[in-house]
Amino acid sequence: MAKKHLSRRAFLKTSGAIGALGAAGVIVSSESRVKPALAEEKDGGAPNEKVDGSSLPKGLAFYYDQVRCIGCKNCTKACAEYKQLPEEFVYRRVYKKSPDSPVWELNEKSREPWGDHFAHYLSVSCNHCDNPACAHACPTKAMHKKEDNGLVVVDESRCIGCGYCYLACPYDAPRIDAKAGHSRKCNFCEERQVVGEKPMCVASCPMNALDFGTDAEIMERHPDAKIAESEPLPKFIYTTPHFFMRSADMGDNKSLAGQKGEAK
Amino acid sequence: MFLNMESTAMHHALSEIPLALFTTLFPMAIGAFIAIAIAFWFNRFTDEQTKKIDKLTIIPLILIVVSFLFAMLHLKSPLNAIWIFANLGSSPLSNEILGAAICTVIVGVYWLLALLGKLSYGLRRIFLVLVVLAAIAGPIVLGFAYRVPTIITWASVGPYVYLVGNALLGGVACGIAILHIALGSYEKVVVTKADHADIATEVDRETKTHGLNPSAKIALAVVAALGFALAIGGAFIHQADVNSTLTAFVIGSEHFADVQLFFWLFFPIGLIALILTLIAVLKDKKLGLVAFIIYFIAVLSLRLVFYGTYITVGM
Repeated sequence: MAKKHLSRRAFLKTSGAIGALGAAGVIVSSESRVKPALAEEKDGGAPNEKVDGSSLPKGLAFYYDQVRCIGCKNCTKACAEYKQLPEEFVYRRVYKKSPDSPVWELNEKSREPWGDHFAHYLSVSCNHCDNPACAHACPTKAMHKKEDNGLVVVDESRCIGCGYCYLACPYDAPRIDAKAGHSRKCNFCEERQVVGEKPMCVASCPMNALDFGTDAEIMERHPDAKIAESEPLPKFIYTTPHFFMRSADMGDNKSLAGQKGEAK
Repeated sequence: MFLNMESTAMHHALSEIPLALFTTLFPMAIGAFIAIAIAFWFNRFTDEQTKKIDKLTIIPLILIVVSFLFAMLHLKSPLNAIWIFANLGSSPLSNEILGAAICTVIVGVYWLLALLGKLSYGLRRIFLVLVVLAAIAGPIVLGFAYRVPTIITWASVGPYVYLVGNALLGGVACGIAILHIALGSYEKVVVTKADHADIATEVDRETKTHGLNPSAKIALAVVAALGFALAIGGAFIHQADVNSTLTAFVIGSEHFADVQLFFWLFFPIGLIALILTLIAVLKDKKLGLVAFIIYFIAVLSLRLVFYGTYITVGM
């Protein structure tokens, strides 16, 4: 039993090392792919998020492939640099669960790769829920769901910075920018989407672990997509998130169609 | 479950200190109106006594305003607070602030009418019933802020119970301090008038009773003791609910270990405050202010536990 364990471990180490080398190459190439775009945006400062997004389809969702994700945090970094976020927070977080750890870990202050080839990862940002806990909790309606395209965004001119959105969101998506004096969160790169570009996190993923689209588009492109509600994510029913994933542990996850049917 | 390396229970507790101060001070301040109502209900004060009490009733109102200022401190853009009621019904915070504001207006109107001498004996008694209801409702509406379905550790009736308890005990401590100041100074005034033989007997009687009759004292003592009992009960209900959450989410109790000390601090400090309040009420010792400050510390520790024990249904 012990011998078998050792040989499996040796195999994992070897394949992990090979994988890491490959991934490093992909990350480098992806960085070079992303950087010119970031430089363009930076010339004009932070992107202008006040755009007319009425042309976007309603119910846009993220898709995340946990099997593909290598925990490089390229999504985190590309998003944070593009949005010119302060060092202390990010819009997209990558959680890690090591095989020998019972808990999911998050190191928000680091945008560097996790670098653990035996771990599972979970990349999460705002899921632009149909029933957003943040918007329900917001006293001023600064945090609101747009009527035209369903994206959940912050009206900075109304935000009092009370932090209730942050407290209520079970995905930990909104944060208070103390210097700016208001809540900030992912807006699904609405300003990029209206000109036909992908959200920055999706565009920057070297493993194509992230995708986005309407529910129908995601089902077509990723037939194995399930509504994301496996641990440590909350159950779908709380906020009805637009977040689908292929889980590394597919065990008891229901199919997207099955869950939709149950939800109705 | 997940572990955020940057976030601990203590971190959560300390980051919500302004809210902890608000939810500590507001119930205790508005609770003072219960004590004042009891005093008026069981006593027929002279006009001079009534005026002095009414003047000093501004103290709990000031404390209420200070508590709102504490609440404002946790806002990063307080000037946008003009929109605070935009999401009434849906936002727990909007509901809480509106409820607290209504209760404050009720006790404020009472104080203003009393100060202007617009309250006859009968009208005052009717108004006092309304004031007591507002002073009990005030702490309860604070609990509206915790009706967030995604925050499971807030889904407990415990905080509602102990907020009311804190209003009763803290209110009596504050109220008796005010009554002692008002009636104590009256005592000095009337003694100087005692040269007049025709009122000497009346003055003597008023001075001996110190303004509060035994029924009022017993009522205040009962309310204070009931308040502490409710506070203890509410604290344990919340603690039990948090523990069951930890069990349900397979989270070890060590997750909140760093704020648990505050939970256990509440009981001895609160008990000291109760004893001092009872001495102040029953023995006419001017210990109300000390009791109020000590209970403030006890309640603040309990509020820090509340904000520290924060878990959502997700991350």
